[in-house]
Amino acid sequence: MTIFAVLIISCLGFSCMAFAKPKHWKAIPFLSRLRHPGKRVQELMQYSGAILLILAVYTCQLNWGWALGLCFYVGVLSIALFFVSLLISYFENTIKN
Amino acid sequence: MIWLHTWAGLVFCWLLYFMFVTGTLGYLDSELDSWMKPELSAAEEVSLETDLNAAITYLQAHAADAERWFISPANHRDNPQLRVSWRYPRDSEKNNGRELINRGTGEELHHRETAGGQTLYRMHYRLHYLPSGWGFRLVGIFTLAMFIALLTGVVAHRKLFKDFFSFRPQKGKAAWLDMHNLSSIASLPFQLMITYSGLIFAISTWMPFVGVAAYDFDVKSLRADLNEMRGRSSIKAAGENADLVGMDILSQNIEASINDDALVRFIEIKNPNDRNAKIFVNTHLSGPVQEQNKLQFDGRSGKLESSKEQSGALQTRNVFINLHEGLFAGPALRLLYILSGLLGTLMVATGAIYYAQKRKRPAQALSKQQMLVDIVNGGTIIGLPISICVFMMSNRLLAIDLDQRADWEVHSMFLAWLASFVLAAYWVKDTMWKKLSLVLSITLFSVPIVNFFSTNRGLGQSSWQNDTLFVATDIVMLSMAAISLLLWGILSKKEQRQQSPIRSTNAHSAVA
Repeated sequence: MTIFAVLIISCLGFSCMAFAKPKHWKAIPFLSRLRHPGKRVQELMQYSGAILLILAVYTCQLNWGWALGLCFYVGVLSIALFFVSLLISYFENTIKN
Repeated sequence: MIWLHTWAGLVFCWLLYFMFVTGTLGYLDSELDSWMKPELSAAEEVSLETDLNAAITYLQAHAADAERWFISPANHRDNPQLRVSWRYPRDSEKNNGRELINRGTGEELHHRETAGGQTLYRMHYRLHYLPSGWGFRLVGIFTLAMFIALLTGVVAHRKLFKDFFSFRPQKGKAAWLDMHNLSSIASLPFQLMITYSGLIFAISTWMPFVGVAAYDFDVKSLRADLNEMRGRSSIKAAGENADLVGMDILSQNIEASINDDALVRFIEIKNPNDRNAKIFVNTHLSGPVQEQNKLQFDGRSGKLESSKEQSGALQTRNVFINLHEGLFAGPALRLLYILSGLLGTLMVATGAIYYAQKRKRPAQALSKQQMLVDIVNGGTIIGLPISICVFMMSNRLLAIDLDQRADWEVHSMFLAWLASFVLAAYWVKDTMWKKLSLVLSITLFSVPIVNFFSTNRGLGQSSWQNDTLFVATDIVMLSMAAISLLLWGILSKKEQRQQSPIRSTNAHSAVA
């Protein structure tokens, strides 16, 4: 179960980082109706993303220790980044079409 | 920097693709081995003592005078069956051997001769048909090229790290570049780890003088020290017969000497039935930085004699080797290893396709060089999975008593791969990707069908019997067949869209 928790936290972290950029903010149907927040909120989202990714590594360390935990973390991070990017691309195309 | 990235990547990309696909399948080598021996089911785990008793009884009966015995208890995915092997001295005329043992009867387990998953895994560093050692040397060069391509890629495309979420599937050629960038950034830590640790594997091949120079080029002294480190050199047979320790005492002593969560990987008995018999115990790894336990027991009393500590340098090397091989990984981490390997495969494939697409001009016919790149791309990227499916099917379809059956499984694989290149060449001018996708889908779909008709472990029976390995293999094959079919459908629609404006233009001109 921990691995799913780490995957969700990582996905949320990457999503925060992506939506900090106006280009990806516009991609999401319910967010695109709202005005992109100012620079301060943008920075806040980026930092939140980074904190979530640190939380993910902490969860891994807590559950598997540093040696095995880092292996899990790197693997999950790769999948989360790929998944979030594909999801954003899917939403972007849905809006365009 | 960009030119170095392009050329270091392009020149070796097809071989890197082969290494990535077969290397990624290497994380499933034991599972593939089991799939290719459908006569056998994984043995239930019992006590170490039972396994040792069955193994020793067999070895005493069949190889009592061997110099070394090896026993792998059936307690792990790497050892689904109790396995024994034995070796005679080099100057002996007797043959070395290995067998899987049925614990119930104490006899050999019979199964078809097969190359198995191990052969497929070894291809990624031996390149199979090349003479011994040459494949390994070449792979070292390709790995270095990949490492250069990775580092130069990071420097050349550093702007991508500011926003690595971009993937624009509607942008034609740019979509290939986006997918290449996305898959490489997503799996960058894995790629760096796998190439750097791959280079460490080849360190003594390409830098042999570093070790020898430390011994003033005295190779004999270096070998003697290496043997000493492994704790093997000074153990010679005394030449007097003596009984081996009882397996009940030995198994108790082993279990008392290792951690509760540690499992015995294999036991080596040197000079069995001799007064100077020694027993070495190696345990499975439970993590990448775990030192591999090597315990030495006396062969007559079963008492622990020494537990070897590894040097710092050896431990550092072993961490990289362990990370590369992933033997410590459980099912979840193994899945992450496989997914990261697939991302690496995707990176190489999309890089190769992007190179070919970038140089195409819509109004111009393909040049000979462009056609050649397309044929090699199609034949490699789709042809290799087709050939692996044929490799698996040949395991089921070749006659059981065929001479050199295991070799013929591999020959079938490479013949199928050659046929894929011929098909790619035949279809290159129009719809190569679409038709090759359909061929891939059919071959993927054929694997569970052939398995169903040639064994009693088809999808129906294996689901009924909770045979996880066979159910999972069939489902993965059918899912990949569906994905290939989907790809074929997408490419067919794209082809129709491209043809319809041409048709309407022709119709307008005919009316005019």
